[in-house]
Amino acid sequence: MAHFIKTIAIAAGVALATGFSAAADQASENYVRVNANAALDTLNNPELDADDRRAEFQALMNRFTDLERVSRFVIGRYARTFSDAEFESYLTAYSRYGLATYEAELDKYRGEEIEVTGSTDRNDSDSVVETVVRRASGDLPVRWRVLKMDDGNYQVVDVALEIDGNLLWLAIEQRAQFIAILDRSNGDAQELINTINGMTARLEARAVAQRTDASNAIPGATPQSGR
Amino acid sequence: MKIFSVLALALSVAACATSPGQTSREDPYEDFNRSMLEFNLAVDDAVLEPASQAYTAVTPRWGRDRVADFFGNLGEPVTFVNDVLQGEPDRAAETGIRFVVNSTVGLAGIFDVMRFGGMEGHDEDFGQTLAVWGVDSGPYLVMPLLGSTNPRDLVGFGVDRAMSPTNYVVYSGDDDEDLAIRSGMVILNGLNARSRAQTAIETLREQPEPYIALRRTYTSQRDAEIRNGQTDPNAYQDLPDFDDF
Repeated sequence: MAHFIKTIAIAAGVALATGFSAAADQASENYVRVNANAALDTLNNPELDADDRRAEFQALMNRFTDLERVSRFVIGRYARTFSDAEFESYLTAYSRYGLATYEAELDKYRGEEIEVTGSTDRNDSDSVVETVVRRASGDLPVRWRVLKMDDGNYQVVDVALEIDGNLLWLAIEQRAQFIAILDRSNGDAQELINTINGMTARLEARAVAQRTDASNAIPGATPQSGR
Repeated sequence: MKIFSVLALALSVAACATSPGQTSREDPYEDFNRSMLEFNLAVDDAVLEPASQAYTAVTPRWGRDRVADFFGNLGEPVTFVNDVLQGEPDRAAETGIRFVVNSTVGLAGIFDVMRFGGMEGHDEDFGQTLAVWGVDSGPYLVMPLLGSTNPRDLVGFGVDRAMSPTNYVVYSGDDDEDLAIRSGMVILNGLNARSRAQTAIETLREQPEPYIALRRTYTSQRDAEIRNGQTDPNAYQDLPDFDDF
């Protein structure tokens, strides 16, 4: 009971083994190493204010992930039944949700580093890169699904957290939930969009509260220990 | 009742298989399960969360950790038996050593000194033992108050409770008093466990589809526990294609 509850908490907190064969695609590994650490560098750069950091992070994420491909994947067969206008509205909501997630959650990873530990090629254009986020509270294994595009560029399409031997692929988990919402509403795009907007609003409110807390903190005060 | 026929079916699977039993991805009782989850969350909202908050307010983190260590130690005999039943002598020995040392040096298990010394504990239950023996899980179930389970784990839960030594310890010799002590321990353990799950339950409630999130996580986490925390060696084989949509 405690294990799976903890799994949910950690997976959603990041929101965003290894008996497999050794490094297969060096380019995929390099892609993850450079871009994941660039994202953390953005969080760590003291010269950026909140708006600059947000803009830089968004640009980086747009390069790093194929958001449209992921957004189609997480609604499965409904990607073919949405009208163009519905899909545009959904994509806008999904993009905003993605950015709100990064803003609300990734701040927890400020000051940390990602180390690539290996990779496995599923085929010529599909690899899983294994990494570890080095954290003061303990290492967190994270895996990245990287696709090689037709133009030779790479894109990340999914991220997995390994918790006590359980691999949770975030896009796959999100897909299960989104499709369930659509199944239960007879494929109503607006129902899903409203759900996503609700989640975004909660995340944005949390981010505002965090900024307010941070600005109210006394400079130089010693942070409290523990959770 | 359907649940009991499914349960009987699950247990009738040949136990001589050498590979772990499969965990079903099917959900024939979804409507019932969703109602039960709704009920459980309502109970949590009305009773468990307020009680847990009151408990947390008067019990410092250090105290809650000691309570968790104490009850964790009381669960070690059940883990030991299941280690043995699963044919894991090394893990059984580890559990046995932890129980003896924590029960003595650790002051009746209040301090998990073996963890401090680098020997982490592990949980085994009869549901996992049945899986190791080749019994399939049967369909996903959500039971009132008990939460996520399946017929295999439900039977395992009953067997674990029956074999727990805490049921047979005589505290005062008076039946009513012993029952009160046992009930108090169950409530304390429940409150403590609930307080430690606060963030997780908040996160669950924020999911777009909490029922689906819980079902999937419970199922995959149980599989990982049956593998003793090892990742699935075929984990990458069945990943879906991103170009199909």
